[in-house]
Amino acid sequence: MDKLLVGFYNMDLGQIIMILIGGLLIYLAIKKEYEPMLLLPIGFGTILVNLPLAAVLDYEGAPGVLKILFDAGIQTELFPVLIFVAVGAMIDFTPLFVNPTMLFFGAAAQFGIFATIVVALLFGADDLKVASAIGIIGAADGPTAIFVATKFAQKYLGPITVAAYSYMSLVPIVQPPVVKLLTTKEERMIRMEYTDVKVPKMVKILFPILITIIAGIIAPISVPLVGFLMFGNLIRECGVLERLSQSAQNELANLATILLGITIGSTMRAQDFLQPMTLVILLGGLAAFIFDTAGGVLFAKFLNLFLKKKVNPMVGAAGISAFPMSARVIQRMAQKEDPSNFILMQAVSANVAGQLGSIIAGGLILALVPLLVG
Amino acid sequence: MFDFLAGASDVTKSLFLMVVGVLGTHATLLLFFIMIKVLLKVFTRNADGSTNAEQ
Repeated sequence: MDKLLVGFYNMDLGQIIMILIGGLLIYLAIKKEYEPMLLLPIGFGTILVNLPLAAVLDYEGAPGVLKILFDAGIQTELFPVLIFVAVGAMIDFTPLFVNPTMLFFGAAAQFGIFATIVVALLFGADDLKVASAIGIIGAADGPTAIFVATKFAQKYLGPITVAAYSYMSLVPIVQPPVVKLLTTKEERMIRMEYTDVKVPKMVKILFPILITIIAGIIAPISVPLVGFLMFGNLIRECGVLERLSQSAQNELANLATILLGITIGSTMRAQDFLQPMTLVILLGGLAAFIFDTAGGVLFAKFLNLFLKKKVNPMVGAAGISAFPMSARVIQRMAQKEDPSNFILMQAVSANVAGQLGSIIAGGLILALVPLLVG
Repeated sequence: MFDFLAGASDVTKSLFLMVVGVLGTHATLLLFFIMIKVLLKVFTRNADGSTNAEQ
């Protein structure tokens, strides 16, 4: 009889709370459409690993399916890297070639990552590595956050991933108040000229190759991040691998996302998630997005001190990597102030630059933190 | 490499990381900026249809 009731005997309050959290993530994914491709598998994975005995992780000494997936796909960094190939195949860098100055906004908006590392330490992060994994939520780039967290804070991988994807979907709520606080109405109404330029195909082909080489020389440890993103982009731009490009953008992206999501969910066990550090991670993630936005806007305002043709400082906020949501939010804000103002293309350029900036910042953290920790 | 920070607290190290990280990100993207400018200069077609790379 005891064997029949083994599930009931092995259930505790923590597991029940986690199952509810899993349900909440599924609700947010389906009802609110907050990053459903990730939050739904994570939510379901959370339920699976918090059921009695967690047979998906380990049963009677044999590794369960989620444990096998975790060891093969997360420990080895395979899944995030596959996602990078897919993301690279989806990115069109043309807006950046038209307006390369926007690269600097993509750099400025990474300020939040580094500022949050300091804040996380002040608020009780275990050490510099854990604080860095919290700060990287500000990359607004899920795979980068997962990649860095896997290296530096594997036990917090679940909450870090959930925070990264949740705040990315909350960009329309997080960014506008910060932008409004830091800009005047006149600044938000600044118009920017946009001239369309035909970008030679050779430039689009050489770009991913040269970026990989430069990044690989500056921060060799960033090559899995930058290299596979650019590999995906090269497949897209070379013009002779249309089938592979489509596969990377669709089948590969979908398969890797399913496996990544449910495997991340397997890290959301009650004993790992229900602890004070989760709160620090969630608040740290929010702080990172706020600092990112502020960094981009303040950098644009600083540039305006010297520029003849002023930049709309809101474009700086689009320098975070949350593409294309951040660019859309900024355009919406600009049109709210002046319905005929169109800064979407500049915002998209900054947003694309943010995708480069975030992986470079991630690469620098991967390179620098081990040197600092010793 | 960062021996002068060997005995420093994590907060001090994080402040150093912030300065180096922000500057490093800007410097790397500055390189990308220069690279894009050079690529566009070399491969953009002139009025006669040739590129600077072909000349």
